[in-house]
Amino acid sequence: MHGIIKPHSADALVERPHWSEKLRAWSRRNKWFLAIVVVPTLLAALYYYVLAADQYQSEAHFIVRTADAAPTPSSGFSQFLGLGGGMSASRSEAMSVNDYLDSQQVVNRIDDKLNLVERFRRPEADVATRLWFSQPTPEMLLRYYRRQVNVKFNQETGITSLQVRAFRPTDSYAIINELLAMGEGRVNEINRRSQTDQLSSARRQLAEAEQALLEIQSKMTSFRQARGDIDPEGSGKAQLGLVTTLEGQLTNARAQLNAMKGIIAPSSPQYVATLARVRALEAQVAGQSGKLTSGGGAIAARLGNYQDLQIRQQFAAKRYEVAAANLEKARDAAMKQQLYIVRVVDPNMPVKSEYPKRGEIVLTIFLSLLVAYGIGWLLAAGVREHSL
Amino acid sequence: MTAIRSSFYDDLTHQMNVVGALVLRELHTRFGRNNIGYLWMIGEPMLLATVIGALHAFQPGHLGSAIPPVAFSIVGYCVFIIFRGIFNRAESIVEGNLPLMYHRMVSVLNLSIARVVVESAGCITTFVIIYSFITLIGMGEVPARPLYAMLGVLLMIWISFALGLNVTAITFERPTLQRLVHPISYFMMPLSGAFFAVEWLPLSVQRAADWFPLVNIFEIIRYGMFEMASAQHIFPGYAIAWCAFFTYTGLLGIRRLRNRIHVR
Repeated sequence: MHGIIKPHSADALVERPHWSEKLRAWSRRNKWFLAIVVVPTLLAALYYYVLAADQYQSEAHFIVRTADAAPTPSSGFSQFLGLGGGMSASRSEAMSVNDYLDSQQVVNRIDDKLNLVERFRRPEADVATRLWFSQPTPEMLLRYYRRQVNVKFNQETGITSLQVRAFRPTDSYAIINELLAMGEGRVNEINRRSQTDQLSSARRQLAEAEQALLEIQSKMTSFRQARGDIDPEGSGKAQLGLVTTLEGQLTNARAQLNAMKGIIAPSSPQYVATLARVRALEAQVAGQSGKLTSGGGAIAARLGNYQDLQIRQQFAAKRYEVAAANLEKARDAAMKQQLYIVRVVDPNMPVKSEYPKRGEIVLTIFLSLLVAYGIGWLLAAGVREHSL
Repeated sequence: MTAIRSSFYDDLTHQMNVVGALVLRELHTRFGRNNIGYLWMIGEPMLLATVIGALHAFQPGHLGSAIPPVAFSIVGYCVFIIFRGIFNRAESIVEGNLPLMYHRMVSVLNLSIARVVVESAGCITTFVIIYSFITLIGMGEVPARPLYAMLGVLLMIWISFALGLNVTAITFERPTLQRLVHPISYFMMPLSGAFFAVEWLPLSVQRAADWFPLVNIFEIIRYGMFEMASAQHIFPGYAIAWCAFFTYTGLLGIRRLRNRIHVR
């Protein structure tokens, strides 16, 4: 376009400098660029393309959910306007499994089961990425495990993705399957525990109600046995009926007697017989109504005790019913709150190594260094300008 | 073509030298040599971004998104001021450097590129410093997909540069239009997607937002920075097409400009 016109030698016989000379001159001119950008990038590329061992990643997705409510993905805009609630219980429960899978406990258990240390120290692993110690402390192992195992929870969808990287396809496959099994085991354990917690008090109440009911029943039985009376109420009624009939007969007899008084002599046998009947009936009535009310063995006293027992029995029965209903409710609630793991994507057996992502890493390093170099150049140039 | 042909590489180095010199000159004319001088290139955006970040520090997280709010706003703001700086200053390029136009080898394009370099270098440095700090104190997260973030920033610089060329060409000797440049960039702030993710919008608005290249570029950057950002609304090809289109019109515009500039 518009360059400075340089004097150009017309004869082509002038020896052109050798390319290596040129290269050396160029690198001297751009030594900072070489030192900051080119050399580190080359070193990184060397490591990643020559030394770094292949790693195989296996991935699985699952959802942890409760029976009663599916986690609703929150629409961002309503919350952007300041609506919407906080952390729901189901979300914290969903997170609990993730948290468990990322913990020291799991690492120790999985190490016992699958010999994690040996798997992370495969001979094909390179020095930089493998686990350095053959006898790592648990903390070391956990740190390394976190580098190789990724538990990601997507808040929009509620799906957890589990990614495991190892140096052999079979290794990562085995580890991820074991992890999923452990997660499921953990969920079952949580369910069991919460169920027993919730149901135990309801069960206890039911047992107490049952006990009380039984006690009342046995009291009633012993009462009946002691009195020799199956049904005091019934026998009371019968007694009353008896007294009533007797009194009716007595009234009749008296009426007859009164009718006779004016007609026949008191000494006549008819009159005497009627009188005797009246007397007998009177004695009967007095005796039977005495049975009804007076004295400790009287039916009235017995009936009082008996009704007391009856009322108590009704209460106990009611209490038992309520306790049984409560237990049923608690069972329902516990069933509803049961967590379970839904496997969305089953773990895959990796075939091709995709990690480390060599190209991406090297490119990232190169571009970052380029930006750093550019900014550094600007600052350095500014400093030089100042010093002039 | 004459027999005298310098190689493309030599031309390129030459142009780079010109741009480098213009960058330094730009630093001088903009920031002077008092107190921290050219470091204001970084200090200026730093001040703004720190305040914006601090405002968001006391908010709860934007519910429904797992993106830390402070990091979100810092990313949005730092990238937005790249756009704003380049777009706003594009109109004063020719007037400000009129004496330079005396030299044949200083083109409007060189001047534009120099401006772009200064603006973006300042904003990127600011961003790197603030974001590192935020990450250290636990308010941000380490970039999840750095390549996407870099691509996004690069696209933002490119589209600002391209739009800037158009602005330079159109507003030359048209004072009325010059007045419009600042309001436009001001209105862009809420519209550009610097402070919202497309996901948060109602569905009907989302569809419209997807057509807007700036929103797209912000989505790309956020997808690069945050683990939880969604990849639903990024169309790099579409954004690049817009960049290319604007670059083309802008280059045409400043080519016509060159002949109308009279060095007084």
